[in-house]
Amino acid sequence: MKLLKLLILAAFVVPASLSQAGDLQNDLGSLGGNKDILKRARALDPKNRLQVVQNRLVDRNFRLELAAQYGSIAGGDPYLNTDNLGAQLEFHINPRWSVGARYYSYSNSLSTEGQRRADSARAGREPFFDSDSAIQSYLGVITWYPIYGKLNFFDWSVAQFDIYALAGGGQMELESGNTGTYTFGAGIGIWLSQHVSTRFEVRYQGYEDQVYSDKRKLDLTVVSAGIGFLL
Amino acid sequence: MTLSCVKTQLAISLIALLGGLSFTAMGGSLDKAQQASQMAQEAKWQNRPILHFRSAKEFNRFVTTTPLRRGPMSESDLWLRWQAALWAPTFDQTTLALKILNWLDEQVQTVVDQDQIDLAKARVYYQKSNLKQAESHYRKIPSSSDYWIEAQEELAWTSLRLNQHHQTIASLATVLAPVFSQIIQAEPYFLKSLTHLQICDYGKVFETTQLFKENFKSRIPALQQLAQAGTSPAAEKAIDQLMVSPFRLTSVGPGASQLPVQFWRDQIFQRHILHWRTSKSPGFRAQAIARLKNLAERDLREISSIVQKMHIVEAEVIQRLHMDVHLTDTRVQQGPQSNDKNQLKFPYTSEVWLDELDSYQARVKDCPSLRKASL
Repeated sequence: MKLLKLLILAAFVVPASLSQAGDLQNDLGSLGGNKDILKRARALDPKNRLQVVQNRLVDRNFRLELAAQYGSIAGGDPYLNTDNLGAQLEFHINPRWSVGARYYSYSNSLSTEGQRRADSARAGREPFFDSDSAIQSYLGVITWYPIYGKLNFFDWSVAQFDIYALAGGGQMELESGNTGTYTFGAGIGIWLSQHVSTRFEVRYQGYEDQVYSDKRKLDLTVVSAGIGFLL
Repeated sequence: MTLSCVKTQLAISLIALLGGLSFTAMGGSLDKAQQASQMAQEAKWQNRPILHFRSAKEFNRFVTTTPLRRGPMSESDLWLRWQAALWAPTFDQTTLALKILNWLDEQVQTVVDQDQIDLAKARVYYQKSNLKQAESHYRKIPSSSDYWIEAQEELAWTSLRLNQHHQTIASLATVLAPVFSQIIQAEPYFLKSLTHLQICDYGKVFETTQLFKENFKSRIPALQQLAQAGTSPAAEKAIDQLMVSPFRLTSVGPGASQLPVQFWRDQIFQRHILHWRTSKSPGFRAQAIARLKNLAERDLREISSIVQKMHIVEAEVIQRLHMDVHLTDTRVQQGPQSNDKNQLKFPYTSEVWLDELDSYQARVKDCPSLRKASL
């Protein structure tokens, strides 16, 4: 008898609980069911906007940056391969602007054509060629950082970066003497931490050298990478 | 693997990763030594009683036996005072609650986390309608805390009561980020739809409804199975995992999406597991399963209540749309409009970057009063 009562009770309770379960699913499913209303609601755009706003991870207000760079040079004297090692001192006025001074030391070697010409000249088949190698240069630059972004390093870390444009001028020491030089270019600075930065840069540099007794205008493309330390 | 499991796995991976990065960490991954240390700490919890008071009179009698004193106190004495602080607001004794919490703040103790104290204080201030103080205490909880997501949700409610709809939406953008969708309750969805209703952003009301449906479509059947059958494969697996791991989301794994919300933090459940760990008696394991069943039933009741509330919000939207309300352009804008060079602004997309959680800002327009309404 007791068992029968339990069975009768179960017969009511189980379907009831199942129907409650079914009711919840149905209730959930019926939310947002009116397609016409949905369409009408979507047509209204109150122009509310959500955005991500973050502080810069690395403070660049009135900060000094010391950096070392290595650059490879394309263009210029066709008989020489030139690269440079540089040191940079940059003063960040704010995250948008900085002013800096740069020093580059150049190392030169004969290019393939230069080696061929030299060998040919030694063999007496052609006259020796003249070149005016770069020795070192000093530049003052002003840099503008208009574009920012951030990088996701394989989901391990996030680093912010700025794309910048730079322009400047200075003095270049050649074998023949000193000459003025100017530069402009663009690059990307990645701020790895509060004290470490890295830069990748492409810039144009122009100057006049002297070959035999003639002045010659040279256009260089300098591609460089560097690592810096923010004080 | 189901989509919800994938999302939970992503949440767990993200949380573990964030723990390593210290940007946000809600139970980051622990190495074995840390796990052992955490479990040793947890073993002490089983001696801490969970108190229940049936009346204010019973509670007051208890309070007189646990006065606040200066000087060192034992862990059990601190725990009892913490219980008193938690129960006092239930009997509307918010001043007493704050007194005890401030006293706990001054103690050098390891019984109660500072985050728990800040969260409790925030809730007491909220109850007293001292919303500014509540807001400041919610903001004290760091993103590395286990209570951070709850704090964000409650901060959203506080902002709504302060009529700061832009702040509410910004907070909810974090709470409802896809990576947390499988481990939060139903209430934030209702809050979001209510906020959008209040600023007349009807399209977003329906978007929220859709999101709610998607995220709970698979959770409801799993909870119903647990509530009706008294167990489920996910429940059995989770309990076996918690036998040998500390009470954290990362211990439970992707199965958390099929189980009651944050069940590992339920103190009664924890006691059963702790007794099982020490005694190895299967009776405690069975009690833990039974507690999961109760929690599943509780969750289902809450979800049902939220569904009804969202129907009401939807009905209000439908009524307003049908009433031909003229939305003029003279709407007051809420939200910050700073142009600080030290701030970076990125568009809000569905893609979640781990450093963006808790960095959302909204610009919203107040809903104008209903003018020229006609039927």
